[in-house]
Amino acid sequence: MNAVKHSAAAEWLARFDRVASVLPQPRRGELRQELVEHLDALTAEGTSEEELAAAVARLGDPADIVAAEGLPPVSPARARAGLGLLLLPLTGLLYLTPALPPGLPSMALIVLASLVVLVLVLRAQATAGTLALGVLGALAPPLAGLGGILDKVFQAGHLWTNEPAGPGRELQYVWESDSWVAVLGQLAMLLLGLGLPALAGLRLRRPETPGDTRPALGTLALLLTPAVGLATALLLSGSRLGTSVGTMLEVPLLVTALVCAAVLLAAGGLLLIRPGLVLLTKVLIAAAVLAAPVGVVLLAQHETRFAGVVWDAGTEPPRNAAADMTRAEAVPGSVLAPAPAWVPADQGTRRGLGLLFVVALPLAAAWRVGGRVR
Amino acid sequence: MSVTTDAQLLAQLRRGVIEHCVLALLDRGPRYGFDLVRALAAVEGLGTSEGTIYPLLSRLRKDGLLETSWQPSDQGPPRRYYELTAQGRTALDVFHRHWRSFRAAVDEVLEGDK
Repeated sequence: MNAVKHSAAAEWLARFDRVASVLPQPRRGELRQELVEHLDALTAEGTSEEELAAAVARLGDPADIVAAEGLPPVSPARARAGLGLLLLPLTGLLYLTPALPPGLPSMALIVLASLVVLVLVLRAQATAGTLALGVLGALAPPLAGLGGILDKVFQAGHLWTNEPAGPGRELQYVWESDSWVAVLGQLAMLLLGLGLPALAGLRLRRPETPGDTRPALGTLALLLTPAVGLATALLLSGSRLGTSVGTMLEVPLLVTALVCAAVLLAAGGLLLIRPGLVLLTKVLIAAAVLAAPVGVVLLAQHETRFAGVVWDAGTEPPRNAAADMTRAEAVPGSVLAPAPAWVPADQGTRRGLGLLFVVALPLAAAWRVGGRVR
Repeated sequence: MSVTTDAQLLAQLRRGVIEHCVLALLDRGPRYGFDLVRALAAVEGLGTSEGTIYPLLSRLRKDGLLETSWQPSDQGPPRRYYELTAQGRTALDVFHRHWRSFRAAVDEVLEGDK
């Protein structure tokens, strides 16, 4: 076993060990032994470091060698986990019966089903990318359901401000979650709760070619960013609508959002340190992972909407309603929902930039990575 | 229609014949893995990646075309030697027969007008 003393050979063997983990034993050990013998024979020829490195390179990519073994059949454990994931979205029906939100027994059943599938996924042998997708798929239905319930609770709250419009009369403005974010966020939660386990189930039931899992993990994080970002923006926005539950959960939700941002940043880092990506793709990845959290903040800002005219009890109803409406259409800056100073005041600009940062950039980066690396 | 690159074309051609090249090398006598891989990789034009020969040897052994035995080595630990089985020899004979007529047919098509 002289080969492992040489850095090029040791590094090559370490790469082989990583990608060969999907091969069944004893074949994995047998193939490794043959390759070690090959490397030993190379070393015994007394070649220089440079010649040995060239000889190691001639062995080829370890992933190609493992792929040449043929795709290993899907193990029963893996097939079970895949089936569990495919069936998991059915627990979504429990959200519909007997009433919304589901009662304690239904919630307990949903969580139990999710945990059982999670254990099945963790026991299935898969590459890191597939495993990560499986874990997320197992957790997605209860988390997305919980998110949906929280959104309902949050949106019951309302914040408003009044603007004097004349004697005994005021124009009322409400602050609420952006209407686009409300729709897209709910859609994202539905997509995550139903689509993610199904996707993970299909992936687990399919044999996979071993290889470097970093692109898969990075691409997965980028692909999930739009759905997770929109759902997060909706929940962050809703938590600040004045309900007691929202006030209580505002900080935990913020911490969760920061953890998601850190994971995305790490995934971006994994992609950036991998050789083989062109500069434009790297720039796009960096822009996507840095801008997505900013986009979430932009989308989580409240929209200010004219809600009507209020007048003091005992005074006459307003007669010049048309004038009030005209005035109300141009929402004055003084009634806009509070936002950080750097956030654009215009709702359309905020929404546009937010969707660009949370949806368009990560998808474009994922598309570039998928096209260039694989 | 997609354009086949040189590498893809070579890979397609290689896929159909490489197994029989291994059988042909072993028809001349048993060889150990490294020796066999080096001999095959040294054949110019085949363009084989040395590492992928080992999975191929495993497949041929599983198909019953090769068998292995351990033999002592003067230069270190025992070596795994590969040799043809009767089934492997038959497969090689069949390939030889088909290859000659196939090569002649392809040559005729390619060079027919010259």
